Amino acid sequence: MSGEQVMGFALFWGVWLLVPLLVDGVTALVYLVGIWLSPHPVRRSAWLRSRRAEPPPLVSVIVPMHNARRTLRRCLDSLAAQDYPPDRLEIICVDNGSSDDSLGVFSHSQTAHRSLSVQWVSLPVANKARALNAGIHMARGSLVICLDADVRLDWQAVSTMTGAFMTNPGLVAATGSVEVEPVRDGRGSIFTRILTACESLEYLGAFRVGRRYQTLTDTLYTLSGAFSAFRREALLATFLYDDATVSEDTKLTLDLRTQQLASHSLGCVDDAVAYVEPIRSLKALYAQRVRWQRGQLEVAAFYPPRMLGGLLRSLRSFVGRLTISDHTLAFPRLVWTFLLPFLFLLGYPTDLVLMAWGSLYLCYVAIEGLQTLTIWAHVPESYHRDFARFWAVVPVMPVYRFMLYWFRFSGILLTLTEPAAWKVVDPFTQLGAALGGSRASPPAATQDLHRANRKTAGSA
Amino acid sequence: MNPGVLGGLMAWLATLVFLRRHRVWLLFYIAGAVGFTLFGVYFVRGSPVEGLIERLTAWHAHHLASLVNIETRVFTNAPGTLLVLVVTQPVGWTVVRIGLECSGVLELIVFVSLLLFYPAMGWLRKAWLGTLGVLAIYTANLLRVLTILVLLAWGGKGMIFVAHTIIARALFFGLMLAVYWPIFTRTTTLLVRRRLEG
Repeated sequence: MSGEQVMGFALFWGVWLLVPLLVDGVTALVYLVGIWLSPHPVRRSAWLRSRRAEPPPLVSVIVPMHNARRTLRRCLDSLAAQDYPPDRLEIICVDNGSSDDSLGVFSHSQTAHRSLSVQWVSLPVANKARALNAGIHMARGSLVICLDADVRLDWQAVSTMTGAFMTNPGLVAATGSVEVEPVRDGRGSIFTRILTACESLEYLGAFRVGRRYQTLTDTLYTLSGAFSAFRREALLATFLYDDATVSEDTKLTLDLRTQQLASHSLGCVDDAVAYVEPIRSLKALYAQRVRWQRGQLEVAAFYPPRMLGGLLRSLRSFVGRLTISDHTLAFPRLVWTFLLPFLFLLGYPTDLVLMAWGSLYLCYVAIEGLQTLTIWAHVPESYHRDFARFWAVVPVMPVYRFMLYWFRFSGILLTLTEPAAWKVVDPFTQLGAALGGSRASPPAATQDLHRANRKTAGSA
Repeated sequence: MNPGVLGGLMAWLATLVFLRRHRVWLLFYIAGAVGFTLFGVYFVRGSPVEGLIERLTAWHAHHLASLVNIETRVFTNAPGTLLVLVVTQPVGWTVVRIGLECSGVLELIVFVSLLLFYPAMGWLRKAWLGTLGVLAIYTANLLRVLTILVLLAWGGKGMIFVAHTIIARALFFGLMLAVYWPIFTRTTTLLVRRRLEG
């Protein structure tokens, strides 16, 4: 069997699997070249040098929360530990419908950090978008930071973010870099550690490389709900956060894009870092990605209708390209994934089919290697000490991304068939419950998000 | 029908009913679309339907090629086989067999199976969108075959790999995207928008 035969088979029948690979590969290459060619902005140091001359601006940090007892302390402690002057920082915690002891945690934290200006606001309904909007209206700072209650900020995050705005007057909104909290060695099973490493690498790529490239090309799609900052006047010129979609952060980003003047920009301040806890299980990962996919579809549906007027117009718009990549291409990929191994039934030699699959996998690994190299080249040197675990999971990343593809495909189907939900039951649990004759095989959704709007965290 | 296949068909249908009833949507869609494709390939392979599509494709390609002055012949005894006159040196005929790879049969079955089980639209809408889609994919495949014929006739026999596996396949992929996009993606976003507004 010649290499040309294998290549011919993989190219001809594997085209539905190869094209997503090509999209990823080309994107990785473009990121690699684009980022290496662009200088890293020195925001913080420049601003720190000059900030003695003028007082730093008042920064309002809005923390929406719903049943955040477990994580709130960590979040407030990280705010108290900032190297930003505490008298120039106001923190507004907006509880929305909590039934746990979040208020007790808040009170304890307020006592522990007396130098901080911390306020507590309570809304009777569980609705993250409304909580954020209430906080925005209360904010007095010229800069508003929206922060999830399950996030821990790096000690320099606020000053770095503020520095970016102070040194770039055209910047009206920016997302920080959201990263997975480093896990201490030896904790958790091997599977959990691999999953965490894959997730960490994915986040590093998405923020340190992806969003930075999007900033350079002015194609930023989401100012992360977990940690983003805005000039207050720019924020108030929009309709603020919209609770009609589960991706209110993406919707606000696109609203800002359509409302801002040409001289204004959105960006990613990738050296302002916020840490999220690693995902605890595949079930949690599934629920998260289903929610993100629903949000993406909802935002694509909301985006100005001309974007959806035609395929060619969609190809010219980055939102359209993303929708094509994540939705249109997902369909043929689904069937061909299963059909390709069966082509030996149509007369193709089994060896040929297996070798074609092997070639496809190796191509995916090569692309992941390229992406990881790009991340390695871009992250600060302090990250390199812990980078071995990322190199080790490069061969696993295609499997991880393939799994995410299925999670997101499920999100497409659930968007069409079930109401939005914060908690989503995965299909195998559903199947197990159905086979066991249990009536508790819920139709994936356990809670209507659009009605109850029970949200506590934004998408990365 | 082979009893094993009949049994498989019944088991597949029972599985679909079970998954649909319990609203296990991902597994329902995978089982539906992949199962329909596999059974579709099994029943269509070697059937008169496959022969008809292959012959029709060859016949259309033959007539359309003449419009761009490419001489072709259709075998009378093997109507799915085309002869293409290669005009570069050395001048001669090349046999192009419109078989499984060039007839677009697999792509048609995959498309129908994906549409059939997609929970975004009613049966009537699926019927007319499906008809439009099948016609569009048939036309796209015809354009793919014509591209191969043109490249063969003008570029010589050495072009076959590049023409068949790369250029024509890339063209077909782009055209398929143009079919999938309005039928799946546009329909979905419009539906989601209507629901959010309603």
